[in-house]
Amino acid sequence: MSFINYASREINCKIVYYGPGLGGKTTNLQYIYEKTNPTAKGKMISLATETERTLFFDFLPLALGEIRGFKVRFHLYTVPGQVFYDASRKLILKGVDGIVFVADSQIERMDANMESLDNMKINLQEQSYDLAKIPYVMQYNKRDLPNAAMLEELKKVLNPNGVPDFEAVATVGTGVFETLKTVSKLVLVELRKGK
Amino acid sequence: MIVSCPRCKTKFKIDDSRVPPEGRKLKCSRCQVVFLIKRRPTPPAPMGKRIRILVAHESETFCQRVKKLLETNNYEVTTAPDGIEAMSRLKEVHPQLIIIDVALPEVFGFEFCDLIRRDEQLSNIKIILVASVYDKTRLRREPESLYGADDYIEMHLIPKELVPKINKLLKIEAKAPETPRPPEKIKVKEEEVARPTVTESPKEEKPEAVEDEEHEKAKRLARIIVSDIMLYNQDVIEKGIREGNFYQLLEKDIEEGRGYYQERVPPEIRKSTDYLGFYLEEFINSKRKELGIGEA
Repeated sequence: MSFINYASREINCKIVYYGPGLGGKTTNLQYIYEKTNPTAKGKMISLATETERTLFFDFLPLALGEIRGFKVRFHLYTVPGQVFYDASRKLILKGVDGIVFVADSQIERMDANMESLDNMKINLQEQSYDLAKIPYVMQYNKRDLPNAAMLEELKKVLNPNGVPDFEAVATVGTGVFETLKTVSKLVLVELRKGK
Repeated sequence: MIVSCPRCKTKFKIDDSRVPPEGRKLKCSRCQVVFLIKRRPTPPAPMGKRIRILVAHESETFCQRVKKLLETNNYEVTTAPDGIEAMSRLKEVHPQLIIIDVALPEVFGFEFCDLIRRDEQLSNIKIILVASVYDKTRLRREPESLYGADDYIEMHLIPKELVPKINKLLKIEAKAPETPRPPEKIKVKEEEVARPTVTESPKEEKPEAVEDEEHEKAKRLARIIVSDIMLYNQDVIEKGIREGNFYQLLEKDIEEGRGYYQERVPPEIRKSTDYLGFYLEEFINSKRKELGIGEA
């Protein structure tokens, strides 16, 4: 949940980019990082797993407006995509304020998307979160690939409840900021509700 | 079929499958008269020899609509709402053709294709995948690249194109008398497979379905673990396969993957089959072939 720093008058919110391996979570963050005003962003940090080979998460604070005199700072995280690094994903989900699920549109990765989505729901439940109550958006990435599944199928399988969703090509930035803006707005709405 | 021009009586040979149910207009090349041709109704199949079709789709309305359409064309239709149910129907009715939703719940349509194509006894079944409305601004996959499906149809085209597609697929089958599918042989196998499900009480079918589901989940997880290991280690895979030290080079990831597999898959499933080991070996073998290295 959001963390308030009274000394610096900042509200810190955590947005986690979740999804299957190599689906484009890191690419999303890299694009946001590149396009963000240098004065509004912190350092991007990559942590490696114990094997020191796998990119584990990225950390990107972004200053974004104010709520009742408090600045809102968004921290963007990615989780390790490989299905078997579940412990790290659980850890990163702690204190989450908003989630972006980055699905890989390639038809061959449909089962990996499903597995990751199920895994996310399980991990949230374990920490007593209810996905229906968390600001949550869906991004269908890699829409430019010829083996991309049809949008209707992706929606049906991955987004049956119709949360806000976006088509994206993260490598060129298509849909990246639209996704971020929407999840940020949803987080802000939740913050205002809580006040 | 052969049609004659109503005015000059010139005869034309027309491919039945290209004539939609409502008919098609044809212009006579000799006298220029335009006339309507209609497809001849499919001759009724001899009793007990109707072609069996399995329709697997989440929507009951869709299943019933397709069933009605096909039954008026003399096909025998069975329906299933999800992948697990479709699998047990497959074993019971032994259809000659399956119409399956790409995003079928429990087991996706393309996974289903994959399962059928891997099974020698089922590999002759024709498969038509059903997808929703296709966005014309996007690229789409060609049917032949869809995990071995024989054809592909978008939902809105079903009333017009489904029956011609089925006829076409089954005709191709009929025209190939030398195919390695002698009906007698299949029948024997079918009876062998069908007998237990016929004699078993309906109550006993459930645990089988649940077990199937558990196996499917285990297979899916194993495939994802293998694909994740491969996706993240593309640089060392070829080296490992060429030098024969694949398992050593990828030891850490395989260990992590196996740990997660053991955590998620019930012991009774793991004891019966090591899906993770199977898919790892399958990957190595396919990669060996790709690299032109003989099997170890």
